[in-house]
Amino acid sequence: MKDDKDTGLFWGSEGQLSSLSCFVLLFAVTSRMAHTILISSVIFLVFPITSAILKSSAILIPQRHDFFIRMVIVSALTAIASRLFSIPWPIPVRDCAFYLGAIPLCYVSGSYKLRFESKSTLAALVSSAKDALVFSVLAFALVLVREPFGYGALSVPGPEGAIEFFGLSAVSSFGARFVSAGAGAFILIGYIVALYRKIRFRLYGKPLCGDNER
Amino acid sequence: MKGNELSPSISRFLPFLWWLVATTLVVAISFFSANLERKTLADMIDRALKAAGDSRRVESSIPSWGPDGVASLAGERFLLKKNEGKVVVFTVNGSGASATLAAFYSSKKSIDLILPLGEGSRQAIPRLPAGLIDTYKYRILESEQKIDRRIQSK
Repeated sequence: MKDDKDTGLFWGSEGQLSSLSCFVLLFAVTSRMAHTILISSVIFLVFPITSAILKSSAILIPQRHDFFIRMVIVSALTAIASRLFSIPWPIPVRDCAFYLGAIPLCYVSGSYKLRFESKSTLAALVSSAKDALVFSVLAFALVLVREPFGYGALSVPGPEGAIEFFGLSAVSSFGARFVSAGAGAFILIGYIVALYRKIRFRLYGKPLCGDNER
Repeated sequence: MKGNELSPSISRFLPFLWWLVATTLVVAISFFSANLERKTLADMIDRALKAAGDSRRVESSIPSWGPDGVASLAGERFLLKKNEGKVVVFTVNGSGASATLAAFYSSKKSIDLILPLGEGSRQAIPRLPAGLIDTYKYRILESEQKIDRRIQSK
């Protein structure tokens, strides 16, 4: 059996899927690809920059107030990023305003410990960029199922909201439309979690909830 | 993280410094990007009105401070030309769909029109739970009437 920390960002106990807070984001932003692109872009900007700032200014962060400062920095950077993205995409940012608030939670409850065990600022930055990549891959995998069945289209963010670049009206009226709704997302995530645990057990022999689980 | 090299008095001060720097940055960037965003929204409202065959147009945005600005419950607010009322831009989320809408509060103190801003919002409306837009409509109506009453009482 391998050590959890050696199992990487995706399968490890400190990976994105090990924290329920990231599922909130995955659940919320994967009904439209326009929203997934926006949130992934913000995460790609916020995660690495936050890690780089926190790592490079470690001496200015008292251990006692570590969590508070980390939360302030990641929240401020998320707010700044959302303001910047609201210039080209005002409507998608408004649509995702509530979900943007979950990004700091996703960062602090995720794999930050690994980032600060990194030897250099660059290593922390690269590790956080990998975290963002893992989230984006998962989000895109979900949205590529949910949006075509729910809306019969795929969309990208634009100044006036989601711009659809292919549309099939026959598919959007199909019975699988529920996949784009909340209930469908829960069912899909249930299947993904089951598959994730099965593969993880096959690869590493260590289930998520302890050694007694099979 | 190592922070033991700093003296206790500096350590106590540093959280406030971090908070101050972060807040200042957010406020500064919000201030500079807000005007641009309001202009884009005003253009979108005008386009939505034109598409709906309505002759009303946006004059300016209403700042969130001053006698007419406070206590608005939801969204960005705009003034219509020729004193024809106000517009409130708000976002509704529900059942995996979200839409940005413009509610028109007329000079007769009622909301006479709600228009979706952009194609994505128009498509999202049928997917929103029934009655959700009406809930927002009544909240906005109540809020605007409250502001009107306060302005009249002064």
